[in-house]
Amino acid sequence: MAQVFQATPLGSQNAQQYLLYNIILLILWFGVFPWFYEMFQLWRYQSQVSSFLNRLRFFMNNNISQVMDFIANKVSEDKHLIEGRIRDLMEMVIIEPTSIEPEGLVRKYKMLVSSYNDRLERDVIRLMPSLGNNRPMVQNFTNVIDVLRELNFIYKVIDHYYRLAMKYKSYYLLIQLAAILPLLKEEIDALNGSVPVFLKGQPIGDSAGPLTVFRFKNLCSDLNVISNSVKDTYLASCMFKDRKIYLVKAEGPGGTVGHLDDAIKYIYEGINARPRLMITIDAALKLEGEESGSIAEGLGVAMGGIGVEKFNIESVATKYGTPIYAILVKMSMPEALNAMSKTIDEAVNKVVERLSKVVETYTEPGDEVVIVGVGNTIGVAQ
Amino acid sequence: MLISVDLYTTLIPVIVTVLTVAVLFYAVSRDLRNVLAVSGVRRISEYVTLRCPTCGYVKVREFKVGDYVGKVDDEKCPNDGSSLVIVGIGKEQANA
Repeated sequence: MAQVFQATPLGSQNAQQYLLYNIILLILWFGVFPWFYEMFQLWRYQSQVSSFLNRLRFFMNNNISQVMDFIANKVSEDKHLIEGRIRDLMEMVIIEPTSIEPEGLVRKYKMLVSSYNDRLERDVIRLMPSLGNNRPMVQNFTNVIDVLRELNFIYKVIDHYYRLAMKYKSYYLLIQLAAILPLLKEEIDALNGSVPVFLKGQPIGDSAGPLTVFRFKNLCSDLNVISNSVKDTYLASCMFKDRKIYLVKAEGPGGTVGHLDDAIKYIYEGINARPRLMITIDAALKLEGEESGSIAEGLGVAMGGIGVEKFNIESVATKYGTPIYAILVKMSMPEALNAMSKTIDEAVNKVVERLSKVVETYTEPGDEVVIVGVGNTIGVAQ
Repeated sequence: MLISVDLYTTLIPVIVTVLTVAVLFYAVSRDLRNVLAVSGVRRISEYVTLRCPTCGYVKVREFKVGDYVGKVDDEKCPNDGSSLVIVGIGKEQANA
């Protein structure tokens, strides 16, 4: 080495060797190694994304098998036909209404969401007529189809970009895909874990809102159910510390989120009540530094989704000048979609205590209060 | 030989190659672990909390398909014979 790097007079054999050695090094360092590095990185990200897609495909097939096993003894229809139809439903697309003219957009969204839910429920009943009389089972099965559709959608989008990246050997597209994989993995694990929970009809983390209303109801007296007022929605009135409370939640124990906005509109315009306060309770996604089951209070409508019901509730509350209070139960996405953990179960008891304090603190005896348990009421009746 | 070879010129490429292979192996195995890892095997116990609406007696038992919060259970309260009501369903996890 020392000999090679030694300064040698030009024209000698050593000088030629020195030049050749440096040219080879130059080609290696700036030509071969970067190319090799890029190829290696490309292969590395490619293997990550393809492994992820294989895993996702396995999850989908495994979930469909679980569904088929679950219904094996419950329905009499042809199993192959059911499986084929489930796969068709997984491909169902929902086309968002155009927003180039925003007038009436919320009403269009509401109609679209209602049509989607009705269509899915009717398809499930058509697929398995023997389930027709068991509404909670139909609703739970609709939730399962929804989860499978979501998994299928994620698979197709990732697969699309993966194929594009491979087609054009796009290094940067693959990097972007690989970068979002850990986040997607969490979402997919959450969705994957929710299928058996929906099939069994267990309460999930998102049921924290409806469960709070259920437990609060036990503290009230003079319960009066206002029946058949709004589809899939439980509406009742009761007395708590001399305040008249209107309880609103989705009607369980089937998996549904109900039509809470219609129920609230009914309270104001059907019953002509004038509540002093409206309190919404919902599960909220926690930030990484926050603890599961921690509780936050605030103002505004605590409600996720595309915002249709939230908009309608805000509109009614604004029209009648009712302040809206929010209580949030923090949890991660896997906790929100999977069987309710003990931490969340215990947090609901604390929410009930806080709710009682909020009602006592911010209202006077004789006032009317609306309490809304937001979320999927699977496994929680009334 | 065209290029003179001594201890350094042979040893350095060997060391660099070994290190590169080790780093590559670590990088690939870490990637695959991140993408494919299934969170540790966990024991999950799904429980149901039953409560007597009359005396407040509480009992916890295993979850069965068909249970839901608000369901009046077949089980009776040992104190007053009232039917117990399911007031909570949850799960506990522990690393196996």
